[in-house]
Amino acid sequence: MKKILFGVLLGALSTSISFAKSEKEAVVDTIKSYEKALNGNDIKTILSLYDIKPTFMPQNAPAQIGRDAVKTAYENVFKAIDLDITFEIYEVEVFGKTAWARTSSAGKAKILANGETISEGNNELFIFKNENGKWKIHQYLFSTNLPRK
Amino acid sequence: MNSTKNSGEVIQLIKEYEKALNEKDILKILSLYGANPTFMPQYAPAQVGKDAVKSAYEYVFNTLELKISFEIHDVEVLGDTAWARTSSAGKTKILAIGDIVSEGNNELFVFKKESGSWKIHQYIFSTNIPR
Repeated sequence: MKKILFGVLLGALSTSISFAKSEKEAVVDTIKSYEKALNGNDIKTILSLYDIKPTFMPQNAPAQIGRDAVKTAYENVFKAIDLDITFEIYEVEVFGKTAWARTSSAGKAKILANGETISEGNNELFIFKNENGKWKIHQYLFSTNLPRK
Repeated sequence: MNSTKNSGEVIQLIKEYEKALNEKDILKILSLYGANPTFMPQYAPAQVGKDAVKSAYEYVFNTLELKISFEIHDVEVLGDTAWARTSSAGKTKILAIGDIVSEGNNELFVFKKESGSWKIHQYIFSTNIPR
């Protein structure tokens, strides 16, 4: 009886561990999809990765609140620059339907106005919400980690 | 402000941080950070751990004198973890030249409850002033 109980407990424990792991992996998948869409100037995919009531905080601009504002902000980004960056993910924590992640990104940005390619480097903090089983960006702030020129 | 119940102590922590920042009170600031914090100031790598966070604030206060107010927009408490979105606005005195310039930032915080007290666990800001 003890052995059976132990087996059941172990089973429950491993289920909860694999559940937690897969949720974390799903958040990582959202970050990787975001990286790909950002490099591909793919606004449609980017918007599909944001939740119903998002806030995007780009540098040198007020917080962009709501999907329409977020869309316009990315349109402005892609009119100005062409990004080729890679995200490194340091921490992801999941709490029920909410998660957060800390990342940094590094690579190149082509300034479309003059064709110049410059180094790009940022730190990022994300808050995610699980909407209908999918992890979506709820809050997102990035900040350059390159020395001031 | 959008906030969940039990947000009062987190809001209090943000207000204490604002006060300590304006008073250049590094000891107080460090007491508001958790055991394993990350501070992401603009134009620098992420500062990971309390020693790095301390050095970063020493650098800030050797360079600037801040007089800013935080506006709290969102706070959500999830058990022993919480997050908040704020913005700050005010003036900065650049100590090297004595100039006073406008300061404005967006901020995102992740907090952890440690031994019964809310502490800053992750903190990033970036300017919201046009280039």
